[in-house]
Amino acid sequence: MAFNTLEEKLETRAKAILDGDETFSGYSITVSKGEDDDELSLPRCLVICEGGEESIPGLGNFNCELIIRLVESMDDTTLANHQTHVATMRDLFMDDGIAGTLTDSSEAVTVFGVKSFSISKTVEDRNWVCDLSLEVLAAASNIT
Amino acid sequence: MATIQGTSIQYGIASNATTGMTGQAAVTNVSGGNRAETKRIKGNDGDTMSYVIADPTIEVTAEVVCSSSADIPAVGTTITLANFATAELNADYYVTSSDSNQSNENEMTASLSLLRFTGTNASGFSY
Repeated sequence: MAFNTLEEKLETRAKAILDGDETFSGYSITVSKGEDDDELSLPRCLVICEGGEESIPGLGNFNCELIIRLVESMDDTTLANHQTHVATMRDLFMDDGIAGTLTDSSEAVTVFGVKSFSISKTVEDRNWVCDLSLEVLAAASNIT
Repeated sequence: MATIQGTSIQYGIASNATTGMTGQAAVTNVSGGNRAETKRIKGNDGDTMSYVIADPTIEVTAEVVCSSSADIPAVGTTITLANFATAELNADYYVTSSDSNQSNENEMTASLSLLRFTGTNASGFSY
């Protein structure tokens, strides 16, 4: 078995959390991974992990940034609805049990903890864009 | 050759870990461990013949983020550490110093220095 696709595993888990939530999936927002061949349409939610750095050399545990980016057109989605969607998305991840939720034995990924969260929002062209970033400490295997 | 797969570690401080300090919002740092007084008994040639270890203690420092009801404990009062990953640290302690750290750029924090006597004759302390 091969292990070291940590970015892909974290993206897969984040997508599964969004897709598996009844409320968020009810918004009909397509969730795509950052490394994906999906055609990107609106509204969309991207889960992106671009890389990480070993926390302590030799341990094989990595500090990674996991970004969840919600993009909706202001021509199709009111600001109030967008903000509701953002809150739902953020609440799923800004949870004190999120490390355990991201950890998954079948995906062979362990998240030891979430070190910090950061939030941001902006407008690009006529799109609402909202980010949530998680700094996680994770390993690409099942660790008990 | 072995594939790197990560290493089992203890991460962070348990969310229910507490110093028992009134007005504690969260514990952000705890460090400490075993101490003792030591004495080398030396022979005529200057070499150590015996090594005496006495008066064992556990000394701990803790950093606490305070709530609005923060009340830093007086020296000599007793507080109880609980639910920390190092089980030996979970016990009653005397406060040997306490500092309130206030700034207009950060949350108010408190720094505590704690002492526990662990010798066999230390049972008389009423922590």
